[in-house]
Amino acid sequence: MGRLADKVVIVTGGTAGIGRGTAALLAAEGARVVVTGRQEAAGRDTVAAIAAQGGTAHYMRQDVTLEADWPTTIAATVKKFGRLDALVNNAGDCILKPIEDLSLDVVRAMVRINLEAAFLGVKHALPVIAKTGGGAIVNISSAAGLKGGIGGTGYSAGKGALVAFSRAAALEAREKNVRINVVHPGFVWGPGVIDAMGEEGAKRFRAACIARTPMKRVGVPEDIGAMVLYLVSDESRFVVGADVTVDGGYMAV
Amino acid sequence: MARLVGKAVLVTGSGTPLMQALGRKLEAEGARVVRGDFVVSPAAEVLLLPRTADEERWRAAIATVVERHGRFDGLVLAPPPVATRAVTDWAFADWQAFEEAHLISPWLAIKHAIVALRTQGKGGAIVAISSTLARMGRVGGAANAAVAGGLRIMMQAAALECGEKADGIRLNQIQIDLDMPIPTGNVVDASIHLLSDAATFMTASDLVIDSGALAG
Repeated sequence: MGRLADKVVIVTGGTAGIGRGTAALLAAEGARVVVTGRQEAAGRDTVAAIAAQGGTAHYMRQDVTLEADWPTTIAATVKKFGRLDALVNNAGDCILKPIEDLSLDVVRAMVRINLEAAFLGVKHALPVIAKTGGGAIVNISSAAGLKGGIGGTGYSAGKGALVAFSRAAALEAREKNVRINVVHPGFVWGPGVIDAMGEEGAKRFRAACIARTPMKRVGVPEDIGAMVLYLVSDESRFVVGADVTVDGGYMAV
Repeated sequence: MARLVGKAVLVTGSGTPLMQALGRKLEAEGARVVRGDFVVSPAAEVLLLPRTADEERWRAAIATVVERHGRFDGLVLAPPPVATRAVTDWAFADWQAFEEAHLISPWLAIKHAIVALRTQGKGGAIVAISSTLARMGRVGGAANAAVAGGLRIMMQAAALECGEKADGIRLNQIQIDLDMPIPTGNVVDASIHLLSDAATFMTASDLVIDSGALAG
């Protein structure tokens, strides 16, 4: 028996990185996973990889920043799998720039993807999960939601707001037997880093991340996925409004 | 699939219902458990652990795990008792005794756990079941806050030292609300997660299990 047997879970931004690794772990424990994101080819690849491991997953195209996409995604999930038990608000984006070079548009984009998308997810998923009889929502923030980093003013504005939002939302959701918690990953390695920085830039960034992480390594998506799995499962029934760092000790420095 | 196969773990406060449940579940997950308590137990295999800062006894307790099972992989410290009293009502000697039992003695346990884990050279996990008073105040909660807060940041410092040595030793806290009934099953499951290899990127972290009390 898997730890998530039969639970139906939506993972946003599940086409790559932390989302993809998390979706695979949840499916391996028996969850039926809906992977959403904008990259269709990567989404289909993710669900094919899960199916090859004997898991159940389905890809749906979704732009998490568009409110109209939420009711559609959730309704399609319920139609496909019969119910919704949990949502992992994982989709996010990070642009780092010195504040004097940071445009208002970029800050708005950071708040939109890192805060507003999660707000929309909670707003639309909460009544549906409540109808199942309760469940869980996990919001993926960042160590940048708890402490500052140079060039991260826009990113931290989004992620910091997500943490505070999640605490307040957790109290409302608790009334409906839905648990909301936050995970703060540290430096986690995914293909997105090389895409954003190029081979050489990524190499330098990786060395810098390792130097700043007490455990002297970067995380892998499964490190975060293991905590999400715990927070989605019934093992964490009494865990509400918590924010948990999974960061190799970065927050303690 | 069992998640702690082969790991040898020392559990303190083993006479309490929480730690009894923990010991059983750890064994169900494949761990070999050595139980220790602060009071004499009728069971001969239960180690007598010091309430006070008795360094030799802590060192010996951890050595016993290695003697019995040939290895040592983890330590779970039981939560402190609730001691509700106004700051102005504490006699200094009583305050010192509480601090000795629930901050200084755990420090010794952690010290010798780290030494033994490092000698073995395969990493390991230290979990302290502590209180949300590590992160908030409460009327009458000063003593619990002092030991929980001190233990929390002390463990974070120790985690950084372990990181510096890249020894794979992780230290994390589970924080519960001592004014609520202990959510035994949840604390047990969280302990298993933190002891397991699924949590190898998790150190100097807090897992709060309080039904949202700290959040609002």
